Amino acid sequence: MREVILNSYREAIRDRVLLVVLAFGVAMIFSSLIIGPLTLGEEIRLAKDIGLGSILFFGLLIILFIGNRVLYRELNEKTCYLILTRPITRFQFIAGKAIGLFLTILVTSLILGIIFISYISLLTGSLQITAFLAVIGVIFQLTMLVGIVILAATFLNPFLGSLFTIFVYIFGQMIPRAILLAKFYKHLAIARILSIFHYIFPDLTYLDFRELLIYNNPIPLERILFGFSYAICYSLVMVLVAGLIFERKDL
Amino acid sequence: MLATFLFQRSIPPIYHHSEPLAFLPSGPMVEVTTAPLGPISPEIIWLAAIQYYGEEKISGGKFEFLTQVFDVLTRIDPLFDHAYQFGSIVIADEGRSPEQAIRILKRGLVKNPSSWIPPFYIGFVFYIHLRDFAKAGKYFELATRRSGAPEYVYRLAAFAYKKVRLRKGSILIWSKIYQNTDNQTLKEAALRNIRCLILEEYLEYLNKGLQRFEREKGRKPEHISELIPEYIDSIPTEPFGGAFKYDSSRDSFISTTYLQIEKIIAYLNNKLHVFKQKFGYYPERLDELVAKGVIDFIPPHPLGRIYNYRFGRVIR
Amino acid sequence: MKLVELRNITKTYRIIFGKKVEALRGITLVVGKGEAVALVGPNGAGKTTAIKIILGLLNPDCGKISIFGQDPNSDIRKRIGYLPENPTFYRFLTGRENLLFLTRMVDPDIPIKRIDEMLRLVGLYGAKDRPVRGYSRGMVQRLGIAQAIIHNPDLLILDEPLSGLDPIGRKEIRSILLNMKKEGKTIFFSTHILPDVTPLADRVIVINKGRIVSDLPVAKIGDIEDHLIQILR
Ligand SMILES: Nc1ncnc2c1ncn2[C@@H]1O[C@H](COP(=O)(O)OP(=O)(O)OP(=O)(O)O)[C@@H](O)[C@H]1O
Ligand SMILES: [Mg+2]
Repeated sequence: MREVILNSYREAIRDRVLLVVLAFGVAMIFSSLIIGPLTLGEEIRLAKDIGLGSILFFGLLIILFIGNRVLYRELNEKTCYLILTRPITRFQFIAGKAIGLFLTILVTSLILGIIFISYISLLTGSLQITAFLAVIGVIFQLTMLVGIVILAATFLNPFLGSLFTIFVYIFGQMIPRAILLAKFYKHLAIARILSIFHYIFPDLTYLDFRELLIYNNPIPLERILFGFSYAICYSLVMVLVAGLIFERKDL
Repeated sequence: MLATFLFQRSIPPIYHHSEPLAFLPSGPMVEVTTAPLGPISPEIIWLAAIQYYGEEKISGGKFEFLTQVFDVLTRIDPLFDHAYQFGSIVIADEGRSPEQAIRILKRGLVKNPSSWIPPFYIGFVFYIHLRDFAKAGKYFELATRRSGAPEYVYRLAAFAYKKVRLRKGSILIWSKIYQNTDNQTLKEAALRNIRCLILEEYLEYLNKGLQRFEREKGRKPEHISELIPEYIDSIPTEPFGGAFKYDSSRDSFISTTYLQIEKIIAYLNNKLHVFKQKFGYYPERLDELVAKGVIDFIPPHPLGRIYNYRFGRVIR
Repeated sequence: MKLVELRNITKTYRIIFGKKVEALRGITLVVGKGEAVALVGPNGAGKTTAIKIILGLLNPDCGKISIFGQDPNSDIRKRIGYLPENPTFYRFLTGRENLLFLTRMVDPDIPIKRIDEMLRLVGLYGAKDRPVRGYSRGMVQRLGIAQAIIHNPDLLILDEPLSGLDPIGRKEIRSILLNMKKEGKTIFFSTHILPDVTPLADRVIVINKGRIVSDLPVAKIGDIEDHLIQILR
């Protein structure tokens, strides 16, 4: 399994798409230098939001471009025949792929994150510790999406898998707010239906620490810990389901 | 801001009626639909708001979407104090919809319960635009109870309750806004308003001296110099670079800047009439006069304000 | 002792619009320890399907499989060497890296020396540090053989082991396999190249249209080509 993890990590990290995406990510983090003067005195806020957003979006792009392919190539080009006839279970194989992809995301997000934190620390003239937590939150959000993309890759081709992942991402972001809105306007039936979807789709808002980053509003420790454990459990369940589907698959 | 303006100038304006913010979703669903953009959505809307404001300002538009764009922004990011501040000032002032400004601010009052900004600006709109001192006082006082409220908020609360002359309080508010913002547009607005208020203040002073003169002497003065130094100390400098003149026909002091504004408005209304005769309808917005060749350019407003153009007429 | 045992295996591929292809229609075969068995048959007969089922890559519709008396998806896979039909490797890794990676999954402490030895044996030592994407068809086949035998398995399952090789390569690989047979390894291989069958196999199983049509020791078959033509007529 260690070999599978390393190999899928190595494959992803050597992908040229990754460099391109990283370059664009860095460019976007620094884009606030150019747009900043248009914000009427909100340069720092813009730099923080854009920076955090780029780590999320470029992580998502990596997941869509590379994450979908790591499994597909293996199945389509039949390289998995040589692996899966060795002493490794299919479940371990899937888990290895997921962990390899997770490591890729971790490394790229950390690279972008360190650039981002140094940049806003320079802008503000003080080390932005809150940004660390915000970046870690984004990494956990991406971890859930890694689970989703691995699940999608077990039964969809890369194109449909990307669509599926984007779809899940969008709904994962929208459903929590939609529930609040439905409750606020007393559409209780709608709220109840949405709550069911809430169990299925990943709730990315648990890992959203933007309020701390932008407004310095402290976030209770329980919420942070809950968010982390939620993300870990959700990703594990996704990989587990992916493994179950893959166990039964004809190769 | 300057960059926005330069950028605006470099592209040819679109005259046929187009709504730059027509794409903007509205209502409560906006919170849901913009969620996938994550932390970037409030930044996009904030830039869109500023862009729209700048565009309308240049083209002499009617700021139709100003309320909507700030409504959306404060729904997406209900803690964004600067949006409440800038939004309420421009909506009430240039957008001429103080009630809408209050509606948006009231949401901030609930959703951003630890900030003194929303209640303060509700007070501000009541004080300056709606001249409802009792309500202004109530909201200023509410602002003082929230953490971080600066000392002048207490002073304003007292002003409003004591019904201290409006102008004095207004100058205080605007000068505080001027001092405490990095937003150049807001600084300009504050400065403009302070100048207007000072101009009014001077006119009042001059006219009071004039009235006292007429009461005591029983006649109109032949020349201003007759008033100095018993009735007035000196003729103050006019803050917009014009001059104060004694107008014997109106029997009062007037500012040449005001005269000029009246002239420009009369000129514009005349041209609007010409436009109507030529094309059979009144233009949607003032810059259509330039686009359709009726005039070469719109003379800048001497106070740096926007012309209040409604229903085919420019009004003061 | 039975190393491979298939009992009554059927396999139907479902293709789009509910169409079905019956690839195997009830196959029963047994490979005993130390035997070398050839599986021959025309294109599309079901050879590859049968082999994939033995290895657990495909799930049969019904029937029973056992390898070393166990389920194919168990730890006994350490003792199997498999060469797929048209093997593929990670294109971005070199031949040596590929082999190292695949071998470590069976034996994590494999010495590098052994890898190089194996590469020399299959004639790839000169190309060992080139990415596989630059390999010719025959070179890939050689690498495929190398990965199948490097961990010294007791059972070799080879799908067309000699295809894509030049005449000298064929001879080389054949002699490698003969050596392994002499060491007492069990070999089960498919082919439709008949001259490959007799030097290596003890027994020939003929499969056609998903059914086993003959299962005879080589000694009992005179000329294999005549035998096949007779059966498949
Ligand atoms: N993935 C698949 N989907 C649908 N049908 C398949 C699939 N794989 C094989 N088949 C069909 O199953 C039958 C048996 O195929 P198989 O590959 O087992 O034949 P083979 O004996 O290995 O042939 P060859 O000598 O050409 O390698 C053929 O009719 C083939 O078309
Ligand atoms: Mg075949």
